[in-house]
Order: sequence, then structure tokens, then C-alpha cells
Amino acid sequence: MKIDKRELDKPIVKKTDGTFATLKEIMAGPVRVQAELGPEDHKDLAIARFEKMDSKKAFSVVGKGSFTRDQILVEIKRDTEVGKRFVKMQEKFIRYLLNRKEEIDVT
Amino acid sequence: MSLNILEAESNYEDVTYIGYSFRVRKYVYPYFLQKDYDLLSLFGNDAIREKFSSYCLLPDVVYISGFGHGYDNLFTGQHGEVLWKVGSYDPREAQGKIIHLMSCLTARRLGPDLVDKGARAYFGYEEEFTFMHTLGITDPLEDPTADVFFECNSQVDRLIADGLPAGRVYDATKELFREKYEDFLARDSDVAMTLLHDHDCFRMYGDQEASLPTDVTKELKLNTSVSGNLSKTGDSRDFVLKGVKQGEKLTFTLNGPGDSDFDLYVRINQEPELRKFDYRGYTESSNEEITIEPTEEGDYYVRVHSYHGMGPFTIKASVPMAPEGEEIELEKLIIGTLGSKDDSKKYVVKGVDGGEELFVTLDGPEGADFDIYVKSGSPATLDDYDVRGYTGLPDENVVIYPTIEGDYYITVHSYRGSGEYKLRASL
Repeated sequence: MKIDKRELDKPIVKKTDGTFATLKEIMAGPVRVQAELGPEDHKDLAIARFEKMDSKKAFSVVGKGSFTRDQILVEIKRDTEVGKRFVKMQEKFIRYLLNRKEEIDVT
Repeated sequence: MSLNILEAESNYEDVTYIGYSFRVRKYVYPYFLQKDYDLLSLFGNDAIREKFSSYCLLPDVVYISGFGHGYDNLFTGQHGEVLWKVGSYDPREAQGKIIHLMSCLTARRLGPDLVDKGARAYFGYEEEFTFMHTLGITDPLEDPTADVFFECNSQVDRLIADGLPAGRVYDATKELFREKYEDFLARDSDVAMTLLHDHDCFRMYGDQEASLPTDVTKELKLNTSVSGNLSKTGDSRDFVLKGVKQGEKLTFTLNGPGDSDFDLYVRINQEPELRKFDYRGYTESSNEEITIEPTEEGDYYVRVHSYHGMGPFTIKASVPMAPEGEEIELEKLIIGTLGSKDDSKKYVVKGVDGGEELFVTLDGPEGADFDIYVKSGSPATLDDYDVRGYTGLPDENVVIYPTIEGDYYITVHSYRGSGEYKLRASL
């Protein structure tokens, strides 16, 4: 499975020391990660990942409006309903990537 | 039999504007136009409860496709007006229909409720439908990032219109989402993430076998082209031209793909069969023409049949028409004069493409009250028109959207006063 090179450099898990590990680090070797992430951890991860989003693009949520990168970060930090949706979206995608990390082709 | 598709499309702010553009200009409406169904369109300001409910109750509405904001118990149209809300709609609006709502959250309560009330199948989203787009692009259709989301969602409408059963439509739509997010994983993982989200919250309820009949007979109108599609050798589509008068010269013209062989069969007052017909066009190409002169009075049934091959076609029934106005070119400014009250001038714009936005503007003299009447396919009169500009002023503007491929007739009429006017038709 080919993957967008930028995705490899996005944080994907929280290490036991509280810092983030990227997908590239996870694939390179053993990383000591926190066994379970709480809501604030997911929020931190989502913020760190959306910070790497292409600023020329925006997300549109039917019924809620359009959100640029900076607006998404505000929504997440303020714990709004739509901010929580964006966190959930990242959470699901992280789970998807981690479940399929063995199939990822980084060559 | 004439079966109807009802398409309701809201378009009043950034998000609905993008969705409307893809659905009405690219993926859904143009596809429906090719099919043998009658289309009931509620676009933009027409997507309101009053019109929606009355259209839903029309006989022979078999499929409803809607785009608008939604919540778990309701679906909205233009400016957020509620079109359906759990507990406050007539169950007959849903009964017997296949329904696709491109609308957030409706799969939670409204979708199951529609099926409980008798809808054959429902497609929609359990969470918010989310898409990505590129900032600063004026025409959404030029944004490949947004395009993929609407391509995936519109798969429902296209496959339902093809006659596939709901269960297969659901599986194929999920599969398309999956293909696309795997493809985007290599190019833009944010798009992949969002497609994955939409894939995961897409739902279908109801009868897996629910499908639309494909053996419908579509009504032809004189001098107006109708599109269709034959999907394989041996496939056929039926049409009827009603109320043909005696003693006329009537021509049926079929234009199909260059690499196929489509034939044309005509029978008066009965559906033709390959061995039972009154007239046929039977060359080795897919372009056929049958001229009947003089005609008998009655309804003329027409079958387009693929002897070999597949693809889109257009069919047109025409009778010679007396000149019904001066031919004018798009974008060209026309200057004319109306001499008195009730005077009128007629114009025709030939060969307008389908799916366009046609603007007709009239600039009349101060103190007068001139109106414009516009109709596709046949002359516009004060009693028979598609759209009219009918204010109490000398100036009028009308917009026809989307256009039907063919000729547009314009009548300029003096309701009061006289003088010189300027007229322009433009896309």
C-alpha cells in the first residue's frame, strides 16, 4: 500500500514519555507507546496532525460549514461539536493506518 | 408508462453551492437526463416544503434524490427549510419510493422512519458528510479534490437510474469509496481520511432488491431532442409521441454512436416490436430517419433498438414549422420596436446546449411595460411558456437553468406602451 510521504511525518501515537511518534518512527522499529489514550491525548494528536494539513485546502461539513486549517484548530481547542467530529475522524484514520502498517510501502 | 425521478437540490451558501455544482452540472442531473425517466427538478429556491411534498405525492414518482443539510430526524432544502421531519410528513410521500438523501445524520432516525412509512429503500449518512476542497477556486468543477467526494456519493443515483437493485448499489458505492481512499492514501492522506469517514458512515436501509423498472416509455415532444442510452446489443428504449394530427409530415430522427448499429421502429397506437411495426429505419449505422407523410391521427410509439453495440443516442420527432421568429445569435444585442400595446415580436435562439444557464434580458423604453416569454422547443406565447419576465417595468430578466438541448423561442410583448427595446440572450 503506497502512502502519501507527508503522512509518514505526521504524529500517530503518543510515546510513554508523552511525546509523539510519527508513522515513520513506528515503522522503523520498536517504540514504547502509551497503552491507552484518553480524550485529551486524541485531541492533542488531532491538533498536531491538522497543523500539518495543506493550508490551501479546507474541509466542508454539510450542515456545519467550511473550515480552514486554522479554523479547525480553533474548533478542536474549544471542544466544539464540530471540533470533536474532527478529532474522531483523525482517531479512526489513525486506527486504520496502524491496523494496516505492515502493508505500507515506503520505498 | 411514465415514471418520475424527483431531484431536490439546495444551493444557498458555500457548502451547498459546491455540492449543487457537482450534482446538477456533472454527476447526477445530466445522468438522469440521459435516462428514460421524467425528471421533476426542485433546484435552488424551488427546493421548499410546499413544492417538495406536492411532487412527492405525484403518481409514478419512483425515486427521490435530495441534497441539503440534515439532522438525525430531518432533511432540509433551500435556506434550511425543512422538507421532511420525523412525525410531520405524509407517509404517502415516502411510500413505494427509493430515496437517497445526500445529507448528514439522516440515517440515524429519518432514514429508518422513511422505510417504516413505506419507502422501498433509503441511502444516506449516519454522521456528517464531509468533503475537502481547494481554497480560491471559483468554479467547483475545476477542483479535483472536491470532485472525488461527489463522484463517490453520486454513484448511488447513477446506479439506481441504471436499474440496479439497492443492495448492489450500496455495495458498489462503498467499493468506490474504498477504491478512492486507497488511491488517495498515496497522494493526499487528508483526502483519504475524509473519504474513509464518509465510507464508514454511509448507510442503506430497506429492501436489498428494490430497483427501478427500466422498461419505461418516455413521452416525446415535437421538435425537442430526447437523450437515451442503450447499454448492450439487444437493448431497447421506448418512446411515444401523443396526439399526432392527420395529414402532417412527421419525421423521426435518431442519432447514435458511430461504432454501433441502432434501429428505429414506429407503430401507430401500439408499442412496436421487431417484427410488428408500421415503419422502421434499418440501416447499418445508428443514425436513422423515418418520414411519415401524410400522418394518421393517433399516438405514435417508437422503439430504439440496438442491433449491435451500445452508447448514448438522441431522438427527435419533428414537423415542419412555419417561421416562428427571427433567428438571433447568443450574446448578440438585438434592437427592436413594439408599436403599441399588445404588439409582439418573436425570436428564436437555435441549438442551445443542454445543462447551461441561459439569460434573456430586455431593456425597454421608460414608461412602457414590456414582458418576455421564453419556451424551449416551440414558440412561446402569452399562455404557453416555460419562463416569463412579467414585472410592471419595461426591463425584464429571466434565467433558464438548466437548459434543455434545442431551440429556445422568445416573445417580446407590450403590456403597455410602445418604443424601442434591446434584447440579448446569453449563456
